[in-house]
Amino acid sequence: MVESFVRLMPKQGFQEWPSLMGDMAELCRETEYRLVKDGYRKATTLHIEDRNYKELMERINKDGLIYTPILKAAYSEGFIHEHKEAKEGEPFYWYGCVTKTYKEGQEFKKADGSAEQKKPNHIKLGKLLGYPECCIDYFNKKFPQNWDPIWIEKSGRVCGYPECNRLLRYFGVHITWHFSCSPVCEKTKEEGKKWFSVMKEMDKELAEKIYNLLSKSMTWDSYHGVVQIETPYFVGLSRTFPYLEKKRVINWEVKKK
Amino acid sequence: MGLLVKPYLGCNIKCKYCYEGPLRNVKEPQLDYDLDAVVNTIRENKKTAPSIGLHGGEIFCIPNKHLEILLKETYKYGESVGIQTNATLIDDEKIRLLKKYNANLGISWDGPGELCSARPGTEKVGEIIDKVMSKGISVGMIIVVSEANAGTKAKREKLKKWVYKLSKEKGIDARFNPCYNDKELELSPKKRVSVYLDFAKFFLENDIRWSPFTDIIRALQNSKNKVCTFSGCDIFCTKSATSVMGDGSITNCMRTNEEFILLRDKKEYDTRLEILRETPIKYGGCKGCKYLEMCTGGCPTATIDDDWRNRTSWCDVWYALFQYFENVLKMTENEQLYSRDKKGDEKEKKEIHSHEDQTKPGGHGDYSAHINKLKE
Ligand code: SF4
Ligand code: SF4
Ligand SMILES: [Zn+2]
Repeated sequence: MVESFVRLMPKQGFQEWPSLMGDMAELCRETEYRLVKDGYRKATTLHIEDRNYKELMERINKDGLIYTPILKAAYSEGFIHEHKEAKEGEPFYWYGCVTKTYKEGQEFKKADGSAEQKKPNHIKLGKLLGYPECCIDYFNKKFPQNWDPIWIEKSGRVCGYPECNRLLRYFGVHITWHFSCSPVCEKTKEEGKKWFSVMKEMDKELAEKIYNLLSKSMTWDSYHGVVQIETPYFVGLSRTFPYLEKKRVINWEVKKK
Repeated sequence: MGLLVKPYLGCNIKCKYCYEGPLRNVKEPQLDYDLDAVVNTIRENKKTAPSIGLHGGEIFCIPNKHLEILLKETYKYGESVGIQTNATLIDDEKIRLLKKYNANLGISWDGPGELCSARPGTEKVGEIIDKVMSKGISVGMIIVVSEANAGTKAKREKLKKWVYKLSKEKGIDARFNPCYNDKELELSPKKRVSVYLDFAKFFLENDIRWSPFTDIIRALQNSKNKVCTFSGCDIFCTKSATSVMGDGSITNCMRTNEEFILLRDKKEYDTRLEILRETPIKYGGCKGCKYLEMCTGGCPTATIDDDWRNRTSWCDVWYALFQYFENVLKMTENEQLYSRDKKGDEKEKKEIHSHEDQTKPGGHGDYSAHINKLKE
């Protein structure tokens, strides 16, 4: 298996995109947190490293939220598909969840299972994270077949809503945080409206840039454990589920109103 | 290589197999470069680049006054700057500038007469080579081996004669690069193995030490000093070639840019090698190939299905050449001359033969077994 990694190279004339993508990802993370703080959903996951421990914990305390550490996970570069327990002396980060109450934090920890090396309860987790039921069900069924389950039956031209577009998940840029069951999942679109409005409250201009990016035509091309995504502005790469014999390519287009 | 300065990607002759052709088809290059930005990028990157070259497109298409600005800048760093050119625009004024700034030439040409038919308008390059050499300018060459100059036995004989003359009479060092950008001009898969083996024998017998043959020997000896093709090139951070564009931005080796120019990643990754090590031969990888650590799967821009996540489509040729030169080195009975782990042979045989539907090798040693494997 290819080592975990993420890369993003701009096309000529679009030099600002790697840093812009960083800003977008930051806004997406903030939205995720804000939705818990505002009581819109029960939980979100959060990685805490040594370097940002103090700052994040202070913030969580100030916001009256609870951080439940779940696993001391081995540090790895790039997009993390799974958390592995860190060995003694290895660089690590804390994988855990943020909730409003202690009880919810414990529920999340139990459903996650990784602290006790148990299989996760995806249905329970999905509910705590506030995902639509159709998408929880999709993930629960498809994840055992493919741990990067982006509409696994689909290839070629795929039209959908920007709210459902998770092709840039490796770079942390998306409107909703779950794998939508379909590129035209109406429930995801509905959820997305709420998420997008919170995003806009925080940074209208950047939120609109995210929406526009997710609306652009792009290609997601997965082969031999590496996915290559091409947008009009950059090419990005990440480790993914390995298709060995044949590649799977999604040519994304936004569904016309 | 090192820093390749490419302010203008246009060209006066536009060879059919040129790897910059697809970019030119998207947008015809203009002489709209920003020399200040180019010079700034050279300054910022000179420290880490082992050498500087002026390239194109055809670099001599830019006005002499701009050429002189670039030559003056590169001259400051003390080494002789290399200029890669099709040589057709070289005149007395250019020779004067080359002399003044101690530049050397890398001339791309595929041979005299019919041999250069893939490079229209280059018929007189032979005379130009003689002229610049007579003025004391050092010349190296890139010869692209294609159907145009090696497609028939008669052409190959002419090519050998010319190569012999270049090397032995003129003392020119050259690279014998395969053409793999044009399906019509690329040597057909049917004949390229035997053609390259024939050339390998010719180079060996005549002690002509040109790339890629010398690189294969070096690779077999675990030398780091070998051509990019066998150096585990990362297509998003080509360490052998840092190309400076006309706007001062930095991209990779231009073979990697087809419909658009992708800027270079700052960090190099081994992802392709990781993939090739684990992917079986029949799915486009190199798993179990005894030459993998030397060959590294070939150039990532000349691959099966044009996908860098596969091995090179020239695997058959490279494998045959690795085996040929390994046998030559073995004949010296000096193990220090070839450092490959000899257990590798056995390991590969096992990998190849253990496959259920493996066509039995035809008794020609492990090369035919490997080729059978490729055909699966
Ligand atoms: S892309 Fe191919 S030609 Fe270019 S530097 Fe890499 S190996 Fe060499
Ligand atoms: S010879 Fe072929 S199989 Fe072996 S490493 Fe090179 S490309 Fe891969
Ligand atoms: Zn759904």
